[in-house]
Amino acid sequence: MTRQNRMQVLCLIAMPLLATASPAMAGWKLKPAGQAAIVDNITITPAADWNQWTGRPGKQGRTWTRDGFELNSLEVFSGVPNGQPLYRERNRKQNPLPKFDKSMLLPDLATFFERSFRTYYNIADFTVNETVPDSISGHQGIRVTYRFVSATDELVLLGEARLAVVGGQLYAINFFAPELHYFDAGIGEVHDIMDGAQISAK
Amino acid sequence: MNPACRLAAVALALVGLEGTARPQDVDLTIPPYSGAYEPQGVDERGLWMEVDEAERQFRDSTHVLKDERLTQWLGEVLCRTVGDDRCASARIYVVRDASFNAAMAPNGLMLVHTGLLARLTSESELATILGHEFAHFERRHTLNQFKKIRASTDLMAWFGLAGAAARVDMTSVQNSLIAGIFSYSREQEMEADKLGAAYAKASPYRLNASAVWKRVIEEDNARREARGLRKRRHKYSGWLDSHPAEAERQEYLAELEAKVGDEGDPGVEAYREAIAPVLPMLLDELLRRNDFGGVDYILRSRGELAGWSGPLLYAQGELYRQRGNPRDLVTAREFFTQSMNYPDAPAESWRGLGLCAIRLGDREAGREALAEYIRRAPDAQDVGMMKLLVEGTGDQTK
Amino acid sequence: MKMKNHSAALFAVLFLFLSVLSDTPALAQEKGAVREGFSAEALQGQKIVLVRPSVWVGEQSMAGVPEPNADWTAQSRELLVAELGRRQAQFSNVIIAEPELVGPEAKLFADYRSLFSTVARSVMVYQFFLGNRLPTRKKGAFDWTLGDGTSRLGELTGARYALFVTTRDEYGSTGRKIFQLLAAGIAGVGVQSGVHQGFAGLVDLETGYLVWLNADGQMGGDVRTEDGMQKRVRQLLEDFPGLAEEPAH
Repeated sequence: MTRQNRMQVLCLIAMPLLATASPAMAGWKLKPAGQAAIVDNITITPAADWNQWTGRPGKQGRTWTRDGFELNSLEVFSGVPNGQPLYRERNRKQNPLPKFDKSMLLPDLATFFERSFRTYYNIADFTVNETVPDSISGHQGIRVTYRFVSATDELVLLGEARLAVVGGQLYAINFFAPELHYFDAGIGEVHDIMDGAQISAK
Repeated sequence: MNPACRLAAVALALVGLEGTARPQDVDLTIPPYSGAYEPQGVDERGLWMEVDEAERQFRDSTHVLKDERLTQWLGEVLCRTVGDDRCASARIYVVRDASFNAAMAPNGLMLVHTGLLARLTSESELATILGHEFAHFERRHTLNQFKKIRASTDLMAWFGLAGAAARVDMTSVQNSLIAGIFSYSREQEMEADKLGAAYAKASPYRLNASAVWKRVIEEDNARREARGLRKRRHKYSGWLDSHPAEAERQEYLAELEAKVGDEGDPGVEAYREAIAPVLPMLLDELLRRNDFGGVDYILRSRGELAGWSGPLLYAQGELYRQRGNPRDLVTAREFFTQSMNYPDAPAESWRGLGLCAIRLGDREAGREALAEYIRRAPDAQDVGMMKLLVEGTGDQTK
Repeated sequence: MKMKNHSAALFAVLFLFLSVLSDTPALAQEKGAVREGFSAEALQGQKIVLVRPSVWVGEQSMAGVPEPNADWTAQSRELLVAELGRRQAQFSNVIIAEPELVGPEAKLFADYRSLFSTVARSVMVYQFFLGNRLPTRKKGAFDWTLGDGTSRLGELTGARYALFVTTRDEYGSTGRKIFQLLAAGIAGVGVQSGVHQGFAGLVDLETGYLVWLNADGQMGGDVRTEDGMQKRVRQLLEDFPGLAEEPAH
């Protein structure tokens, strides 16, 4: 039953896929080291050069990468409104995404993030290591650290997300990369990016 | 290539052969057991070595649930079903996978998915499925498929079948119900089912196939309804498309069951006791699927058939709380409250109740419930978060 | 992206259509690269471990959903191993096979096989496809790594380099081919039927650097036949620094 399914879910880790068929689809924008970058209502300052995908993982989201989505992905979500999903909903009927609700409590955000992430990337083997209080731009929020196995290559990846609700909207910064080399190589800078993020919400 | 239980196939195979064997013609005597198949010739012996090696690696896999008590109980049910001489050939592994499945390899390795245990409600249902799988083994149906798979990496893929499935949330209909149905021919399914019925007749259990089959269909319908999809007209693909309607299938299985007789033990109580220690884990796996309708059906039917319990009501509450529509929070709160009436209510019921109450504006009751959760589960990974809420600072809705 | 329904497939058609319209160079693609400073000389006298190849062969349904075929996969793996064995004599280095390991060490090899496939695919998608090259890679330097944790593979094998080979083939089914014809009629462009991905890469186990890579999403050779596999392996090993020329056929 399973190899079939695994492969059917061709989605490696989603986006690059189409790229094998049609590489021209994605566009990129350089986000140079040391320069403040504005992602909708969040300002972050990377220490190294990053690439911002011109597509969006969700209506309020942006994805950055250094070496490709499968090797390091940094997602920034700025102001997901009440009733909207975090990620783009690909198949509303067969695989609906949970919707953000501004009445969610901090622990609800962790559940919301896990369910959104698992569904969007079609990850079955996903474990939350820790949910702890944290903050973005001085707003109280949570930090979720997690581990998952990619559907295509059975590669183990680690991730860390921070989420906070500001003015009734959800803000999130999420990083994930393979456990071998790439997570450790990237997380230091990503912590600095998360710590320095500024929300300029209404 | 994936041999797997698939009650669907069982039922369909049974009905599929109009005219060949109506239930009244079925001979329900068990043939003498010739023992586990021994590999013949160099090729097969090579294959066996590979299977054995793969099994050694599989044994250590994180996808296998190492629960001696549970595994031993499954073995006992199998032995009571097929008899002590036969069951000595099987080695059972419980695989962490929320899908409905079981399978047996030609060297005697038997896989039972946790998703199967989560959906069954009695030992007689379990016996029916294990018996059916054992019949495939006894008839050597899997052998030919394994012969085709030579390279050990492929064997690992077969053993990993569960693992691989666990990596992909099989929420779409075609995945969750029918995938892999083609592993056996209709004739083989038919043969396995006949032999399975014969085991049941000779065993202390009653044959209990149609009820499980009915629930599998109803689960699928519930899933589709929740997603606003049309009910499937048993489009199991290929040859199954043109096959007799569900009603006829049910009828056929029921006829077969009538022939075997219902004086056997349903084994509901024994099943509940055996499954109790792992039930919270089984339910948690279900909750992780993005499948509100299907899981809601599984939980409800389990409560109705096998009795409600603290963990079951907690899971119902959690299912609604996670969907989180305002009316869901009210429903969830009700389930959490009910679960607290049972001595086996999990600490998480207080967490769920607390979170729902706060979101519904009942902050006082919510904080009290969360404080109780922290008392009951002081080491939980999210206790830090809950303390914030109890202190009244982690609530951004204010 | 699951190409499970027609809208997804249509989207792909539209996509190709747009990319063909906008500019063809976007589809231009490089197929191989060598890390700066690496040459055949660096390989001299060094042991290379041939990591067990990852092979996957299947079929594409009409919507482009890949389905595995165990027979084809098994057959193709046998052919690949046999062909690599046959070519071994032409390597100027000592080639050793991946040792038979069990437990955590076997898992380590499996993990690095997965990481290699992921890195090789990333090179192909984010560097070799010129139209999709990441701005940070615009200078064109071939600088990719599996991380220096690969030194553990060196300790386990005594090799300085590791050669990884990955193939993934999805053959178009009849339904897919019909769809292809239809799409050509409607949109005026072809929908790709079948995927024939092949990666071969050499990794310096001391540093983790990928020093040489061949990666192509449309390789030739039917991997289900002996002749086809010879062609595929020829393509995979093309320009491999430590390989003597194969006599022309």
